[in-house]
Amino acid sequence: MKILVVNCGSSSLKYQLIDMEKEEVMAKGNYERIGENSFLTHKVNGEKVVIEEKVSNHEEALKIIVDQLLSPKYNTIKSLDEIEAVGHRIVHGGEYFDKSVLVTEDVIEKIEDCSKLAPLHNPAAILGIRACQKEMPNAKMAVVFDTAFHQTMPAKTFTYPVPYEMYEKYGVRKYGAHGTSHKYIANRVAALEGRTDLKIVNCHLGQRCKFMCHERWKEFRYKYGTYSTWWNSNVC
Amino acid sequence: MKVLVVNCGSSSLKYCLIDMENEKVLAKGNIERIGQYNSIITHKINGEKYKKERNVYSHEEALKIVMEELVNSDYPAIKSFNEIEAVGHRVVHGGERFKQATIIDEDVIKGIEDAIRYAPLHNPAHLQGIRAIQKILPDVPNVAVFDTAFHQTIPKEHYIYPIPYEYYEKYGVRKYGAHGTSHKYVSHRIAEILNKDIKDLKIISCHLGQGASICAIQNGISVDTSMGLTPLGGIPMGSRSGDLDPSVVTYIMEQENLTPREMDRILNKKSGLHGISGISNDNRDILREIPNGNERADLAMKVYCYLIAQYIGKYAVTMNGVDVITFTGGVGEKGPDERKMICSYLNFMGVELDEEKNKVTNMEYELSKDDSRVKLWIVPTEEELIIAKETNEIINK
Repeated sequence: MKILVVNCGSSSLKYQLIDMEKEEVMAKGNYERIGENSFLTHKVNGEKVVIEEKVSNHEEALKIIVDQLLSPKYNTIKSLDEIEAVGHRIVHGGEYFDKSVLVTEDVIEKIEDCSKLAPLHNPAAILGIRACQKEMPNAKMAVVFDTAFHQTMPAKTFTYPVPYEMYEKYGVRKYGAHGTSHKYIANRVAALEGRTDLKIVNCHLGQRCKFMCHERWKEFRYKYGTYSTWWNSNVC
Repeated sequence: MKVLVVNCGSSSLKYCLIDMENEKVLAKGNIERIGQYNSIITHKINGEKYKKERNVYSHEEALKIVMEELVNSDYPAIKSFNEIEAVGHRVVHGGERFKQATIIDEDVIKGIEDAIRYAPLHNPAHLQGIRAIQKILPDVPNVAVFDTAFHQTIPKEHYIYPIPYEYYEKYGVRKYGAHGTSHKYVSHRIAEILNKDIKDLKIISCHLGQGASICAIQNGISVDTSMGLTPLGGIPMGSRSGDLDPSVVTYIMEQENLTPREMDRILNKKSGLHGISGISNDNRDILREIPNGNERADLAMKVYCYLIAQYIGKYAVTMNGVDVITFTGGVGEKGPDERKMICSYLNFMGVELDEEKNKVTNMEYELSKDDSRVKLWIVPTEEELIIAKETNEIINK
C-alpha cells in the first residue's frame, strides 16, 4: 500500500510518498511560499529537483506535486490510483479527537472549530484535505492530530489555575502537541524493552536532536546488542 | 532593644512591637481600610484584643494612632516613644539593588521608588510608612527588609527568562522571587533544629499561605524560587494563577477584549484556587465542599497539590537531591490534607510522610517517618519577628 503524507502550513505543503510494505520513502518534498514566489523542492531517487513555479493556492501546488509523482522521469508511480490513502497532519484536534480518524464532513467541521486554537495551521490543513479530495477522489483520507495522544491527561493535569469559565467558554486548557511523536516513541520503547509497565519521560527536542538519538541507537545496537542499557543512559 | 515592625499595604498597616531581649511581642495590631470610611483598628496586647472604628485618612495618621495605642491608651506597651530604638519596614520589592536588609536613607528610598514598577501596589505604600515614621520618630533609625533580597543569590541561568534579552537590560525583566524573609528564616531554623551546618543541607522550603512560593536552598543560599518578576508566578495560590503557558494570557485577552491591567487583575484576584473552584480563595472553604461532591472544589485542590509537588520535584533536580522539605505559612502549618496529597507524589525520591505525625499543626514538628530518607518538617514562620531580627542585626553591625 502506498500512502501520501501531507503536512500543510499556511503557505507551504510538505509531503512524503511512502511504500508501506517496505516502509520506504519513495519521494518527498516541500512546496514553499504558496501565493508568492513559490517553488517546489522535490526529492526522489537520491536527487533533489527545484521547480520554480508560482502557484496561488494549495490546490495548484498539489497538481504540480502530482505531476512529479507521475512523471516518467522519476518512475515513482504510474497512476494516482496507486495512492490508496492520504494521511493529513493536523496540529489541533481540541477535545474532539483522541485518535486518528477517517475524514468526513463532520470531521472537517470539528477541525475548523478548533481553528481558534491553531489559527495558522488548522485552516491550512483543511485546504490540503480539500485539494487532495479533488485531486485523488478515490483515495481514503485520514487525519492524524498532534494533540490526540494527550487527550488521556486527567483534569487535574490539563486544568489551568485561571477562572474555570475560561475552560467552559473558550476551551482554555492544556492540549499539548507532538502527540504523534511521543506516542510512537512510547510504543517503540516498550517494544524494545519487551515491557509495558514503564514510566517514560520522552523528550522531543526539535527535529534534529530526535534524529541524532535514533541514529546513535542503531549504531549502539549493532555494537552492543542490548537496548535497555542504551535507553537508561541515553534518554533523549 | 525594642523594635517596631511596620508592614504597610495600599490601604492597610500591620505593626508589631517586639522586645529583642526576650523576643517577646509587646503589642501588635493592624489598621484596615485606610483612606476609606470606617477604618478598623485592631490592637492586641497582654492577650487581649481591642477593636475601634475611626476614619483614618492616611498612613501617617494611621501611624500616629499606632503610637497612641502603644503609649497613651488604657493598656500602654511602653512608657514613651524613646523606648523604640529602631523601626523595621517590610518592603516587597528591592529589585536587583538590594541584596540584604538596609538602613534607610534618601538613596535607599530612591532605590525603593525605582522598584515600584515591579510592585506598583506595595512599594508606594511602604514608602508612605517610611515617610510617616521619619516624621513621627525623627531620631530613630529605619531599616528596610526586602522580600526579594534573599533570592539575589540565584544564579543567572536560573533567573533569566527565555525571552528577548533586551527586556532584562531595558526593564529588568527577570525572576526576583518573594517571601525571602520567610524562606531565609525557615532554612536557617531547620539547620538549627537538625543540628547541621546549613551549608551541608539541600533544603526545599514551601511557604504556603495566601501567597505561596517554594524555594531551593543549597549551601545556605537561595538558588531558585517559584515566584518570578512579581508574586504572580510559580505555584497556584488562593487567587493567583501561578505559572501558565504564556499563550493562555494573550488568548484570554483577545477573546474577552481585555487590557493588560484587566488581565493582570484576573490573574491576581480571580484565578488560582478561587478561579478553578468558584468558591473562595481559602483552602478551608474548598476542603469543606469536597465531601459534598463538589467536583470543582475537588479539582481545585488536586491541581493545587499536583503543581506544588511538581515544583518540589523541580527543585530536587535543581540541587540534584534534597535532604529536607519544610512547610510554613497558613496552609503549610495547618494543612494536613494538602501536605498528604503533595507528599503522595514524592515517594519515589525518598519522601515518606507519617500520617499520624501529619495531624500536628502550628508548631515546629517532624512529619516524616523515622526511616524517611528525606526529612519533612513544619517550621512556622513569624514574619514580624524575623523582620525585627534582621533590623536588629543591621543596626548592631
